[in-house]
Amino acid sequence: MTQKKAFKINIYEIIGGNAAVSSDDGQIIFDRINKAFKEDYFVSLDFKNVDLIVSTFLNACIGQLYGFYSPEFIREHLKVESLSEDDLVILSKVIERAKQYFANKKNFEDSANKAIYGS
Amino acid sequence: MKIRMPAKLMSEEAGFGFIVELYEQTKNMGFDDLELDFKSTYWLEANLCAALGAILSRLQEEFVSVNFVNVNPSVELILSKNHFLSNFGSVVLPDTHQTTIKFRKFKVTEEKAFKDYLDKELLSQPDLPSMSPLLKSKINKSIFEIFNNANIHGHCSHVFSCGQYFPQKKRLAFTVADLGKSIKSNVNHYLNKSLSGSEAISWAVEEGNTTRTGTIPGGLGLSLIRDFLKLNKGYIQIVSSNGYWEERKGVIFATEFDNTLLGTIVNLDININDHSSYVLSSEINADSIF
Repeated sequence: MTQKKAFKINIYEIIGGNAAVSSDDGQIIFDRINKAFKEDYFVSLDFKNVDLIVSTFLNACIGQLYGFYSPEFIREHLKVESLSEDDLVILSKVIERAKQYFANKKNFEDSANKAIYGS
Repeated sequence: MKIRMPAKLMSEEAGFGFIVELYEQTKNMGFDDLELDFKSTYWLEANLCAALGAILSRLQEEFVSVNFVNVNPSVELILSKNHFLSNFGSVVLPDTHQTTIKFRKFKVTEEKAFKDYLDKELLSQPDLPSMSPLLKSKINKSIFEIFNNANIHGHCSHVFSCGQYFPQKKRLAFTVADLGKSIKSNVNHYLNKSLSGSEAISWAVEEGNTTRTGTIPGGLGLSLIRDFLKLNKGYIQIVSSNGYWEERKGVIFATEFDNTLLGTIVNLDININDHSSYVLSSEINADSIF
């Protein structure tokens, strides 16, 4: 049986500090997750020593994934570590919101395509 | 041009109305002198320096010389302590009681510098009542959501911030201002509608509503702040374009000003004597969160 490939992303090290507050930093993490997912890696996001996390960062880093991967794939391939209870609440809202956002976006784009190209 | 400042400039509808009027009256100035006459002003809530500073900083970019005249000594003292007047040629005075949070101008890309500013100015003041780590974190996050909104939605170059502690009331007022695209402009462009200023703000503050259209979702920041402030017994005021919107204890009040501000001001009034534990209604499991 093949061993599952796994990689841990140390958020503190990548963003260079304890504040996960910018969309740009979130995008850097997203790019790394995306690259790993394409290789079918399992990714663990380690937030150890990060003491300020805002929704803008989480939207870019994790919420954006739902535009590219199914919830089932993400559930199977991604996990988070060292997040406080409060940050887990925000992350759960970010995820819920991302699912709605991409569902609405798809409906919107389908309607737009229908309007432009016909059914 | 000479403008008479009001007797009291406070974080309330009338105070913000004056600031929007000041913007409107001066917006076309260039290569000129602006005299702000404080003769009647005996009370000024220093957090509003964020909004005043945004307006005056833009005027200085347009080669307008800004002069403050007849400033009451107590008003001058607070505006010197919080470094506001030093941006317009006056001296800086030490803040021995540390009730001011300095006026600062940040580039929208300076998130790390803004974080350092909050750590130093906002959350390390020795004279404040002790706040739980969770409350400090909630305050920090709320302010950052506003800072990021200015960058993402305002498409502006700078953000202005300033705060004030009110030790007797055990409250903190913190204001963030920008002169970028207004909420009204963004929302009406996105919805292809003609909502009024306050209607556009009302739409933008609802959870799930966002004008973002790219690959990164949004529509959460302001609702997280509202949730926090409801539990904290604080309140939020938003001014953008000609709209005014506030929420206190879950009660919303919205109106339109006669004048228009090309930009956005957000004021958070936070109860720092808050011992809420913010206990969660249901535990969230990190293993099944996705």
